Amino acid sequence: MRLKPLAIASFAALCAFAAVAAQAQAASPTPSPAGTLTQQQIGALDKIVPGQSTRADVAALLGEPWRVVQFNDCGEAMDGQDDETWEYRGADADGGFRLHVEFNEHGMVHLFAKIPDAAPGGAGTAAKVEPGGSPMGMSM
Amino acid sequence: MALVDAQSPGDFCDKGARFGAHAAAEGIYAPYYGKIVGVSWFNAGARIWDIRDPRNPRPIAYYIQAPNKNTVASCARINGAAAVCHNAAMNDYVEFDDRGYIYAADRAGSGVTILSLTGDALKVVTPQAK
Repeated sequence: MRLKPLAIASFAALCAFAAVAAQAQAASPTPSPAGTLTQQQIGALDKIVPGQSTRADVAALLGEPWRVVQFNDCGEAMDGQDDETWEYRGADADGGFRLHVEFNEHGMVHLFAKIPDAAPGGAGTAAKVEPGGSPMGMSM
Repeated sequence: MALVDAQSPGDFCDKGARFGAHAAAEGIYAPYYGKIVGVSWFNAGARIWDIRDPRNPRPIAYYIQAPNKNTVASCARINGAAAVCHNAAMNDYVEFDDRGYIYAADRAGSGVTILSLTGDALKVVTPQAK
């Protein structure tokens, strides 16, 4: 090992939305961070169907996301895809996870995955993808 | 954030995200001018090469960002197989400053890491180094 890390800085801008939303919920008697899924919402994830569910469907089912990521390469999204991923956080009996939802250019779910926090690299986590959609996720 | 032991980098084709050389550092200042170059290598991290002999560049150091809670998953369906998502960092740029610090920026949202050379790699850029 020859390189020594001195500091790490996260991109605070990506968290700005979550911070504002958390403040808005501060007066709630049962506050929960924005984008954190309840057990009821986790139980309803099968209702999200790639190629059928819309952005509005996801918002109605899961509420505001924990984070919205606009990922494009030099201003261009991948073919057939929208330039937006929604992420939610949750926890079940297997531990914490992140719900990763990508949309296509028509505002429908392109790809959908429940990714355990404790799953760096390795074999990866299976994702559901719309039939006939682009083979690549937008973040590639 | 973690350092990966130089003896066991693993198979980067199994780590998710992209692999391979991406971009060479665009601004090289003293004390590094003519001595080293930094190249981003996506999931293989930031890689530093000794270029004192440009006909025989030599890898001297690397740093691989570990995925963290801000890392955006990389998802793909390769060769018709089922779609898979990986939590993988993906180094996008390596830059230097005139104090000798090295900045490694992650494309997948994991952050920017500030690095310095140590050990044998540091000897490459010390004033007495040829």
